[in-house]
Amino acid sequence: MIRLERLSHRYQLGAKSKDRSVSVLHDIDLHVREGEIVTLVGRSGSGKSTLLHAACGFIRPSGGKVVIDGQDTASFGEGDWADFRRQRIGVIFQSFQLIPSMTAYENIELPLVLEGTGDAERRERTLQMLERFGLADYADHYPGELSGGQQQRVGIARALALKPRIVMADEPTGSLDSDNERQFLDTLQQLNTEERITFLIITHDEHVASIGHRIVRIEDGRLSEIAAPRPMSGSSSAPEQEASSR
Amino acid sequence: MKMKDRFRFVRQNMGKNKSRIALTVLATAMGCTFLIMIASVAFGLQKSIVEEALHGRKVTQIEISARAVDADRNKHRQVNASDIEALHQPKHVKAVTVAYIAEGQWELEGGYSSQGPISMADMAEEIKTDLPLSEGRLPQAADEAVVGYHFTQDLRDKDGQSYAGSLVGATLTTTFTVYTMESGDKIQPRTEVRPIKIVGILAKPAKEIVHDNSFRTDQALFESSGFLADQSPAEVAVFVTSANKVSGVAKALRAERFLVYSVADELKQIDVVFLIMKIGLVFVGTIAVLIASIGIYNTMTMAVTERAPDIGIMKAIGAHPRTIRSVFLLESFGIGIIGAIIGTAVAYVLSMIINVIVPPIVHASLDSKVPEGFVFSYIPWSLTALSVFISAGVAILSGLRPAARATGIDVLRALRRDL
Repeated sequence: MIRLERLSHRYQLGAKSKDRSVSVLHDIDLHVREGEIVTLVGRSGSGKSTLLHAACGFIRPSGGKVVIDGQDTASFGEGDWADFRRQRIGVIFQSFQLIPSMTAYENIELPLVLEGTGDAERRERTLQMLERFGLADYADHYPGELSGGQQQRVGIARALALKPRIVMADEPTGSLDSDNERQFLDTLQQLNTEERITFLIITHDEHVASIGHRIVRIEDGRLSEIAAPRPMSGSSSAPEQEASSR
Repeated sequence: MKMKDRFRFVRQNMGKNKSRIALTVLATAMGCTFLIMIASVAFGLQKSIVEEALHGRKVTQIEISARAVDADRNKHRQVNASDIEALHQPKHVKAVTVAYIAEGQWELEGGYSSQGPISMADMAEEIKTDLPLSEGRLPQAADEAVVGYHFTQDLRDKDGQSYAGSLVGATLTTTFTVYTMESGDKIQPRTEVRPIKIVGILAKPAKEIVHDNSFRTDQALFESSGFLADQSPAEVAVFVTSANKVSGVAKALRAERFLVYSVADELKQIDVVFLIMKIGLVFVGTIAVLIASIGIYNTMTMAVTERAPDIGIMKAIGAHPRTIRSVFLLESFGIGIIGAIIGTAVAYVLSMIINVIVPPIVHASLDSKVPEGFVFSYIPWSLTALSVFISAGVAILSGLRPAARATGIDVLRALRRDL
């Protein structure tokens, strides 16, 4: 479902110094199968966010390939990535990233608006998402009027509004208390079980990481350790063969 | 993204900073008003001068005064009946009117009478020139006539009282007098008296100063009597199908050695002068709109900066750069078009006010009266359309760079609020 092949990335240091750069990802190979939850853990600066940003097209990697749903994204321009993300990938952010001037309803509706979905279908789908995530009473509330947990639920509902088959989450529980974190993880597992949505989750929290079928550890831009605390049903391949860093 | 959702986005965005948008719209409106007003002076002057030049004549009319008798065009003679066929020859000739003039005296039952010139024309050709009537119809028989709008006023009784009723349907005893040259250069009058039925009244002249007491009847009335046999036509004119064909027809007639004059030739010179003037004034007015565009650019740039995090979020969840660009371009276009509409409305009001208040000011300060019907400011629809087009176009141009900046926003920097 998500295949990273020899993925590497270097950041330029400063706008003028072309010859000074720092390497953050080194030839990473990672394969996330359909219906799998893979959690990527690592310390700050280990390169885990860069990996996710490359996987969802926010940055263009310096080397290697990102293949999602069988499609090589190497030739994608910004517009292609935007269309691809909107139609195939749901993105959940640590700080929710809701538009403050829009209500919960409007935030959830936004991907459907961008997609050009018909009015009736858009309304039905948005109300469905509000209901599903317990936000029906907060439809007209602005993000500033919602708790952290509610905001994150709006973020999830928005990510799932167009029924993506892949969800990528960057530190999704970073701004949540323990109760909201538990609720969030339950929701994720439920979505994975019921709808076979594939998750790639970045976290530094071992507890969050434990919901993954596989936990991939990243250190200094290299995948260093792969564990399978909760092997996915029907999986036959060994974790070591699914992810490696040369 | 659907167009109606783009408009909804623009409306919401514009509503976020109403005062800034209002001031930008105001600046655009002022620029547009200035553009229209300054150009409207040229349009107004042209309209007034052209109307003065026309003075009741038609733009499609070519007056024929004589025909050269030799190739060097040194000697000319009056146009006669044998020339009429040649006048019909060029393409796009609609009608050729030939009128003989006689002195006339009229008497109506009740002791009313008057006198004046009588125009005897080929009514079939006159009808083709679309003579405008205020009442009745055009003559269909030789003993019928149409009269000028003021003819009735001149028809007075012994006490000097004008005829008060309608002349349409009335029969006037008409005395026609023409003069013929006898041998020995002696001029002899020749007279015929005929009852003529009035069937129509011509339209009121555009200018109040014009007193139309004309009397037009059909020359066929005298076909059998030979009353006009030795007379030369006093007025010969060629009417062309449209104004832009006048030059071509006039050229063809000149080639046939006719001496021609058309008001269109005169207007052509006036038009060239005013076209240059209008281009210059529109250019000056556009500078005002360009100054207003700096405000639009500034407003849009600030909007992009303020909304950078929102733009980042939209891009992160799949907004195509084209969508982002179109939303910002629509917003700047919206500012331009609202400003243009307000500016145009204000310009129309100002134009009306100027046309009302300037004549008394001129009269008071120069002690001379402004010519009747003179307009200082005139806004044709073409000027309105041009101004709206310029305002909207300049607004879109002003929004191009901010829109490009919006599409180029880096998602990660925007999400970190690092812009």
